Amino acid sequence: MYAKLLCSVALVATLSAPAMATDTDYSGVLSKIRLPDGFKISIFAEMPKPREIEVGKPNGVIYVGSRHGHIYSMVDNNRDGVADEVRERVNGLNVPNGVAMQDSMLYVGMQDKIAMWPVPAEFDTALPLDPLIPINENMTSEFLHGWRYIGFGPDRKLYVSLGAPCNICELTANTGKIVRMDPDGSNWEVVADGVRNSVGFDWHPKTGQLWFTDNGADGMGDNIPADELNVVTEIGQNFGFPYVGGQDTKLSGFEDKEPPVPLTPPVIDFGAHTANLGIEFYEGDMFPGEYMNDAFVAQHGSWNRTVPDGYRIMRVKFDDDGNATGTEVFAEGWLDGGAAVGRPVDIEELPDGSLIVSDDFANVIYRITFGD
Amino acid sequence: MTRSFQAGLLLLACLCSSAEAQDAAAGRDKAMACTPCHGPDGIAVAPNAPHIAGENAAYLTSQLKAFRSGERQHEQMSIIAADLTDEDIADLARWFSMIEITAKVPDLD
Repeated sequence: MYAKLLCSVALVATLSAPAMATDTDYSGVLSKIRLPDGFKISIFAEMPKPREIEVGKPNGVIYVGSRHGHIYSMVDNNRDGVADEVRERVNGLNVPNGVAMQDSMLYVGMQDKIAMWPVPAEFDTALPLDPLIPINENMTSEFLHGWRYIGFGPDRKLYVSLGAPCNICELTANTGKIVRMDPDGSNWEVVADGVRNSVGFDWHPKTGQLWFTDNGADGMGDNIPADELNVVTEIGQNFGFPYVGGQDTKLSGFEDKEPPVPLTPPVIDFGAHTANLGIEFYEGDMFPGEYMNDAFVAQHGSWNRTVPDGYRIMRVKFDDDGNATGTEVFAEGWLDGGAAVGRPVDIEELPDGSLIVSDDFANVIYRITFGD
Repeated sequence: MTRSFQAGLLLLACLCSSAEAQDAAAGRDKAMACTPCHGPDGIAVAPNAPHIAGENAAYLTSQLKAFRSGERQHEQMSIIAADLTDEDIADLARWFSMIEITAKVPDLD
């Protein structure tokens, strides 16, 4: 017994609350991240389990959703590239993964509903997000793939991803889709059908087309089906799930089933299980000009691949007409010798042209800059 | 207790349980696949995954076997357990059961 006790001392893991102190040393993670020449990565803020990020307009408050019930806000008042105020604004919500803002109204995408919080005229970042007024409760409330990604399009409508609550299954009226609605929740309309689980979308700055990532099915081996980057060219297009994943991989159990409508293949196939989540088109002037209108995609990283893959940020290059022309690794190193040190989730551009990236494994928001 | 006696005891302890340490190390290496959800230390990072640090090895073994056989179903665990051998399961159960945790009951007074 004593022998066991002594030897297990070395295996003690510390149980601690999420690190909120600003003096936590992240050099171990940061030193592993590799970026193209001239780029730098730093810690913008610390918070528990950050997911979707929304940079609020016009007052610069940044909201961050989670799958754990809380929403945080952060502000960099003195513009030094580090948030000087990080606050929990609400807790106890039902998987508030999604946050979006339009016209001084903050929207929260939860597992079972969309709600809004009118930002008071007498704004104060200490105010709790209360009351949250539901605008739409037309959702299938299942945890799996029920972490909503939301955003406002150039058409001023609110877009919401409704993941399929399964690995591979038939879809129902309000699962496996991206839908849009008016800001008051009315005029619900399917924008993209046959979508397994999209946890990121953005609109091309020039064409206004909606590009979205989609996570492929599990349980079919390490290398199929591909994860996807899709573009909506016609409202209501079907992107293949549960019949096809990637360009042409028939999904288990649906090999012999005939899709009821024509299917639209992805534009880009990403590696199977790399878990492509947030996507952000670059419109800033901090990065070199060649990055303008290219997209950055956060790969959360695989959970069930024999050799882990993903755990990085990809760059998707676009031509002047808004066509994707290829991909390359932009930032990597969150996978260190097969072990995760971080998992990128969502990417947003700040007004100064830098990028901020949420990581729900390392419990931080990174900032990526170019130049001095 | 003298210092040399302590050192001797430590050496003896580690010699006695080197096989156990090896199994635990094997479990630690295999546990890489568990960390994205259950955390690098068995304290879950995903909201739909339980903490398994310090969990009873017999319980972990029985649940992994239940996922493997299909007796217990879960979208992710059924897939991940499908390819585990009995040895994998034993190593993983030992590793997670050896992680020490502390708990603090809220003071309501």
